[in-house]
Amino acid sequence: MYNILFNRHIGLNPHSLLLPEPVRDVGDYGAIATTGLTSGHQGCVGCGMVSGTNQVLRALKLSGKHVVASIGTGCNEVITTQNTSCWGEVSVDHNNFPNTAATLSGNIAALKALAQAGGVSPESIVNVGIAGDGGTYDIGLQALLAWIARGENGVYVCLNNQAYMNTGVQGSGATPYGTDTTTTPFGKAIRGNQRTPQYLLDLALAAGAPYVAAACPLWHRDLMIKAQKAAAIEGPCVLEVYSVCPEGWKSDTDVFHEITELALETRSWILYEAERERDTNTVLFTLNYLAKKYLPISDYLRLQERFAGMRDFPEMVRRAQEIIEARWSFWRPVMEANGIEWKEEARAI
Amino acid sequence: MATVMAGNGAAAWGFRLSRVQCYPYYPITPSTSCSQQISRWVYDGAMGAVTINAESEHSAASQIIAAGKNVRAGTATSSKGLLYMIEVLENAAGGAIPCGLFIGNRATGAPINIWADHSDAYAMRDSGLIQIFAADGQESLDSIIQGYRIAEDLRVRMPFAVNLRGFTGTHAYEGVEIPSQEEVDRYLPPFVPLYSLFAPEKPVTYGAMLSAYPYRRHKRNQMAAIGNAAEIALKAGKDFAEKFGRSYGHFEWIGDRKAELVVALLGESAAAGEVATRHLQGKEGIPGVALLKIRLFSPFPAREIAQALNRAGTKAVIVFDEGLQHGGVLPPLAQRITAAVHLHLGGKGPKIASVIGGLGGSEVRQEHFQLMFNLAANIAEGKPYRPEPYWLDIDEDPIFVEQENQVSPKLWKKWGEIWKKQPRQEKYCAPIPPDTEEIRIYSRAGQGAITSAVGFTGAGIENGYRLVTVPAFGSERRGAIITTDTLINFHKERRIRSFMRAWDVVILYDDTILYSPEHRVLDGLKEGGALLVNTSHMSVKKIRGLLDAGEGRVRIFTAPAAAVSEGLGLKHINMPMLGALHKVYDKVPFDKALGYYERNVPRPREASLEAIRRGHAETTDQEIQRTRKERRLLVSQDFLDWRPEDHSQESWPSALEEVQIG
Repeated sequence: MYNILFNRHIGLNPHSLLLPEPVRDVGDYGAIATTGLTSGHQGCVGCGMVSGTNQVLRALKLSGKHVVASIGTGCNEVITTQNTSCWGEVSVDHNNFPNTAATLSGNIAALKALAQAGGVSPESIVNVGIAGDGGTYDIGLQALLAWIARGENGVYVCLNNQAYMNTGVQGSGATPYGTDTTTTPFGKAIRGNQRTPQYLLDLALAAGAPYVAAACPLWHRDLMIKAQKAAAIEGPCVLEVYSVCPEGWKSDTDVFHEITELALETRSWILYEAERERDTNTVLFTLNYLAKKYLPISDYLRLQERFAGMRDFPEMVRRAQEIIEARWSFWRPVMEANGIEWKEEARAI
Repeated sequence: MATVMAGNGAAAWGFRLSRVQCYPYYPITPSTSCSQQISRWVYDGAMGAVTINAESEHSAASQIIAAGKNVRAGTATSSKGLLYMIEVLENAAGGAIPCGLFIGNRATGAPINIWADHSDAYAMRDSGLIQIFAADGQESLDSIIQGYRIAEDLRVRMPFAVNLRGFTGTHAYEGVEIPSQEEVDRYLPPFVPLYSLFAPEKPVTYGAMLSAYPYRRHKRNQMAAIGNAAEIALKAGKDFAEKFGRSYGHFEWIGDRKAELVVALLGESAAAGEVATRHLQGKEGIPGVALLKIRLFSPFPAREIAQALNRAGTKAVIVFDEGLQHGGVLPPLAQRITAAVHLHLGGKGPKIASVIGGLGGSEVRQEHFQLMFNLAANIAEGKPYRPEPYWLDIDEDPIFVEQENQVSPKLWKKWGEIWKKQPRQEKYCAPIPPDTEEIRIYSRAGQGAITSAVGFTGAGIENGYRLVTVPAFGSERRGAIITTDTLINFHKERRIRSFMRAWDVVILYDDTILYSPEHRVLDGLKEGGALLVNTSHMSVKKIRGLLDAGEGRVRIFTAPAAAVSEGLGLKHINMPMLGALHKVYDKVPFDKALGYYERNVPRPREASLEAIRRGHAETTDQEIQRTRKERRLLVSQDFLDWRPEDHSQESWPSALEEVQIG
């Protein structure tokens, strides 16, 4: 348990209570001469994960540190390391599917041992773990929570595309309610995914993470600020990135922008961050974005054929709306503090 | 100068002297105390490694594989823990990461079983690791140091595992020579990362995905690299012998140079095999015998083993496996030796039979090896034998059968013709006269018997004897009756660490054990041996009466250990019992041992030392009158006869009577 405080200010936040200085807002600097993944990767057209990885890497490189990425098996690894490496000046350690956080932990230990021996300065390196939602919410959760609990210094990035896309769109612990996946098909008897996703960042906070943040590549300034903060804050920080997947979401490849905007306007993806002040056991929550419009969830379901089945079932759409409202009610104090009307009803039906 | 420690402690020294820099761990019986020891050193600042309290073996393995790219890394595990690691271990081999594992070998279940066999090591044999089998703590220590040298060689760059049998290896306390750090540093150069992740000027990608063409080439290279390890291991063993005086090869040939009969095996059970081999050597009517103790299991030195068998003129080999290959033709070691012989000797090779034993903590004793040599002799004489494995200690399926009705008709139908032609030969199977002296302690878990036995072992070793103490482990229960055995070997030149189970002294830390129907304390006690009992109210006469044993059968001593400890404010009775043991058994002189105890007894030292002295002084085989008041619960026969369904008892007895005990 922890005390909860809300940041009254909604918006981009390069400041942190845990850092002496704000991190760089890349928007203030215009073009940045860092690169993410190099050309030649095999990612799909319209892949959100590639953008996410690129932005994370570019943000981390802004610090001038050498990036050591411990990556888990999944799309991200397969499309970037097949027979050649697309990681440019980043050192990459791919180990296995379930052990991204353990591999990260091993590399952090190696860095510590090397620093003890006087070979490497730990300040010159940033250790980052990168995995998908399957490797984070499901098979890698044990290693991740243990890594957080041990309080090791690094960044963990979950590229969340809400199902097992690399193996052919099977339902994961991050799959939304009602989604049609190959293992939660929209059938006559059971209509798609019946569970609600668990919330990774809540788990991470409960395990003791000093900083957690949810971001999306569309709001790249926000994402890159968050990645820099996670790297600068001492301890295990977790960043979750919304990753559009045209293949798994059965959407057009050119609606990356629209889908993400709708996710934010329907509040089914929330850009927020939380930092934990250890001594007082207080967690400060900041809402980083509030869309001008509050749209019903049915709008979000429109562009993605994975939701095609549930669109015809009003009670399912209502349930999806309830899930969002229940989660969003957490932010009520911030909304009220800003004099923003709290809309209970945004239901389409 | 040897120091007394258990196999796990010796393995911990192996990691420490190798200057392991990263040591993640997850506890599992029976290898845990290796990790405990390392944690102790690291938390005390005596060892400079980075430890990680991993949440699973899977993560611990992932961590050594990650860290092993940049620093020297290692961990210890057993059984299911190793199986849990296997998923990632192939990444170590495929990624050419030279990290190290110490494995306290244990059965893998189901049924769950915490005791020793080689199932876990066999399960990992296709994971691409160099696998070395050690036979005791010393070999574990030495093999871990050599393991890093072999693994980190540029022609190899492969992970390695050092195996030691659980409990009889990992928990056996004996004298271990600890080389100095300077000597080890001269033998084992510092770890050199080939492609560091932390070198910004040269970024690197590990674990890339390869398609068929580069993949098959990579796998071929990987096979070549582990193959190279055989030659490098030989060189590493030779250099080790030069520096430290203990030589190691691919295998050890124990017994006659010309040996018609050979028993081949892996690891610690060789201790019992060695005793049987030495016993049979040169006996009338018995051809040359030898024990082939294989150390390097992967890469398997097939050609060398075939050549050795050929040179020795071997006619029959019995391969003893402590694990299975389910659904396979032969268990793993038998399969490898059979392949080696067929490939390299063709039709001229010896005949090979397989024996399975030692499973799930089953004892592997000298007499088992006598049976195996007997079987080898029969096979060498041309007798028929089974094309599938024999089993040790399966009542209805013995190796030799005297009479048909001993076994089920079904088995007789299958193997009768072979059994009829396979005689049990007395010259092989006659009992081996004990060559060592042995002490058994029966105590209740928590009484400190292991501490005192290890103390005694240390004192003996310091005075130039060879001692081994093996505590028996059950599932952890305070207050359960456990045994702790100590072997004293007076042969300076011969290594004996296998118990004959003929006790010179039996010690009871608790007199109630006399009443235990499960523990016949005189069983195995030599004629005229000594029984030492911690008791404050039983007389020698009473004990003799209870055991129904005459004066010639057993010498009985009593020690008032509880009273001594109570008087000195000690919680445990083990220190007075240690002193008492010296009174009963004087081959390890008490005055010399005291010097060791002065430096090594547990805190509070003064009281412990005084307890040892008093225990020694107050132990007697005389009748002594002790009057002491004891409170006893008044119970009626009705109460004792009471059963849950019986409602006749109206109240529970609660009165206490005070009785005089003399």
